[in-house]
Amino acid sequence: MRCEDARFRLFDYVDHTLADRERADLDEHLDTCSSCRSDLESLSDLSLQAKVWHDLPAPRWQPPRVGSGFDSSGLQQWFPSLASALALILVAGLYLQPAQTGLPAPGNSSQTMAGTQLTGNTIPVSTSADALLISNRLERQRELQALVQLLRTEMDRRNEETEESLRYVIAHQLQGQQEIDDLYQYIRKVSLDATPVQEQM
Amino acid sequence: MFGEAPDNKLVARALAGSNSAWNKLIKRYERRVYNYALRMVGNPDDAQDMMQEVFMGVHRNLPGYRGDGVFAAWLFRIAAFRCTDFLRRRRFHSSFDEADGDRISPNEPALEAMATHANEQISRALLDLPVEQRHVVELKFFQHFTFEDIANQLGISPNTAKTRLYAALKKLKSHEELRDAM
Repeated sequence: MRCEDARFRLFDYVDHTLADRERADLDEHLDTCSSCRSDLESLSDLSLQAKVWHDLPAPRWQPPRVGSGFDSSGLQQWFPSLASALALILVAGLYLQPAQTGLPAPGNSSQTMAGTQLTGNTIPVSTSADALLISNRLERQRELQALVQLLRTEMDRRNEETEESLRYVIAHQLQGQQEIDDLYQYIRKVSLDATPVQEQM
Repeated sequence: MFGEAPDNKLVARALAGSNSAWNKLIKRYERRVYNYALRMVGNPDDAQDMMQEVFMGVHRNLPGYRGDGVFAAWLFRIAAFRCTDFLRRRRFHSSFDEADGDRISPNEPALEAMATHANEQISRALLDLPVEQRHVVELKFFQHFTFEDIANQLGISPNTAKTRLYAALKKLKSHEELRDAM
């Protein structure tokens, strides 16, 4: 057995969850490998040290009450979604404005670009020159869909962070303008610097 | 005469509106979560803040708990997330205080409020580890979760959890503070 194979098995060895055959193989390796033997000793030591920890009692605090958050119909749950939706509409509107003024929609002139892109309706073709415009529009449609996805992720994350920050303020009863200013700068920086990240719980 | 109600039963009763069940659930876990927080963040004030954040997270996410796993594993999944977020936020706030990295360095006196010499030494050693490794050490040796549980809680593979634990082991091996705790 190689040391790399032995390493991962050391944890199971200590937990007594290795199969007999694997345990025998590892025993054989440990007999001849001082490095892995030393790792095993450290592992056992660490396990012992964890038992030395003396649990401290939790300090007194006021837990949240049932009914103050389990109800999913409250404004608290609506607010982030509403904010996200409004922000999405606003950004989508700004994004589309130049296209509406600079490039008149081909074919049916009463059909707005926003309607076309967001609902995924078929874009009418009237001339060959329109094909180029449509191609551009389809490209922008793809970009917009990616942007919408990014914004949804980003808004969810920001809502989460804002909620956390507000909770932090309330929990600590922050006093003084300096601390509030710091918090404002923090939220502002997060908003400006934010990049798509894995959606948080 | 009567055994304690299982977690899942308390969760169900809490979701049905029982404050008593919810408080029992908190009482059952607050000490464990507080000590977890103490080891992860290194000082009692921040540990208390983090404990509260964990239970706020549990409170908010409880309706989504499906009851198909061990409640403790679910709770510590939230705790791991809150802890990572807490430490990230603390690092950000520390930048206002002209400091880089964690506000509490392993050698600062804040750790001396740890009640026992062993606690203090263990905390110093753990704070010397990167957060990712500290998480795995905590969940494996102090919370006694399996690697599969740890992997689920941290969103990594069991082998990554083992790799992190092994790296932590190598680092702790030569840690004098930890030897003193024994």
